[in-house]
Amino acid sequence: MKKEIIKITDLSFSYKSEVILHEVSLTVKEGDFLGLIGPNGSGKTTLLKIILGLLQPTSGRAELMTKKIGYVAQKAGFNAIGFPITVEEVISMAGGSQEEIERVLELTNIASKKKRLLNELSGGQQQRVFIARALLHNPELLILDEPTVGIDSQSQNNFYKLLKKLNQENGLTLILVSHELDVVAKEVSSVACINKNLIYHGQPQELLETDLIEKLYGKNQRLIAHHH
Amino acid sequence: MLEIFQYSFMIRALIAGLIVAAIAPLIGNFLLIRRFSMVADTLSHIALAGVAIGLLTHTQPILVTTILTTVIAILIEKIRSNQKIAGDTVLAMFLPGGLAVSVILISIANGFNSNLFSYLFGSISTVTSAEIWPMLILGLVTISTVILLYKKLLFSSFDEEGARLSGINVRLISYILMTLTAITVSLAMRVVGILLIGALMVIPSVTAMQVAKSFRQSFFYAILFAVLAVLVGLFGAFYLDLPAGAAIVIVSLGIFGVVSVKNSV
Repeated sequence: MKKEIIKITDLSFSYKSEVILHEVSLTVKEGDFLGLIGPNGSGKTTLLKIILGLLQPTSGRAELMTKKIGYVAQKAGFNAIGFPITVEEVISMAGGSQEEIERVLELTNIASKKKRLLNELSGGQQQRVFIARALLHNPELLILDEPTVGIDSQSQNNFYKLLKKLNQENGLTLILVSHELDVVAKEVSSVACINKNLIYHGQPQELLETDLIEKLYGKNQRLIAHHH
Repeated sequence: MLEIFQYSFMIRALIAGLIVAAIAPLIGNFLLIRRFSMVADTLSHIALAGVAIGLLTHTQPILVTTILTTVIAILIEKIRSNQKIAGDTVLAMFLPGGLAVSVILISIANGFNSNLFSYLFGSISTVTSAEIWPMLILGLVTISTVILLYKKLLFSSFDEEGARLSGINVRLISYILMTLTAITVSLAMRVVGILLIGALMVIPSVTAMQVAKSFRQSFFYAILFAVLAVLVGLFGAFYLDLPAGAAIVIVSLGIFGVVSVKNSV
């Protein structure tokens, strides 16, 4: 039986008088590739911060069974735009030996760009660099917050291929936070939809039923598939 | 031997200038990457209050200034990291605050005197042997700390949240950086003067950004440009009878202009 990596039980979070999350229960197991999706303001980033220990829940529990976590923020390295910093320097700032740095560069297919400046790379390539850095200390769990925002569709395809490889070949547990329901549903092995409450947790195919999407995004919404 | 080297006060000026040229861009690079370079200007206005207290109480101004700017630098970081007030707003509060305290202290002391004026605009040629040693020690402490904590300083400046999640004590690292900034401001005020410190901490780093091909290389270029500015500025000041602090800043801006033009061609 697969080991549990995250166990969230009856978790609620309120900010001042506003309820952000209400009694969410969710389990993530080793080897899962979970898409955590919901519209803007649904509480998904708050849930992520609680999982990462950056916020405390108002009630309920979030148990993390591993300390080996890699995290890729939506705007990782935002501060440094325009500053001369190489791919290798971005990765090595997290520590690690030269051998370990080479390993993650190979794993994420950016070894040939290690001497290039970060701001010379495309958005998709920059995300690979941040994933490489997150993989440096062999995490059991990798969390990515809206990683494909502002990235062109070809790069998105390559990006999801990399995530699938990490999940299937390296056994890495992945949580991908996104508001792009259609894209994510195609790529992940399970989906958790939240909009204050947990609306759905299961196989992505079942989610494509209209009433679930209505619950999530409101009435008169329909899914438009992206073709890459 | 050149005439400039025949005067012991100019030798001391060169040593003091080179110490500051080595450490100001070292700190400036991290402040730039954090988009927090205005903290140097804010602390320089706090330093003015420190100098005024030192002159009023007849204690060594550089000592009072180092303590005062360090305390305020840590307070600024504490308020900024609580994230209830934006970083630039915190600076906008402390800058006039430092100036206001200085003006009151100066008025108590019955106005400006030439001593205070030398701190405002720098008076590198009057640096004494007794001042060189603390400058050298504090300079070495700053350089050693940056070398020792290089990766942690870089990670927390580049991606604060990512650094925190990777187990780095980001708050402690930020306090250390602010303390180093305060020390640098206190040391630099004798060289370029309180009103021009920000320039020496920022201009060489911004110039280096235009030519460097890595973050490490940006330190090399920033220090090179700062050393060049100090040397040319001091020689210019000596032979053309100009105020040294202002000459150093003008040369620094000149290097920026030349590099920018060369880069755009």
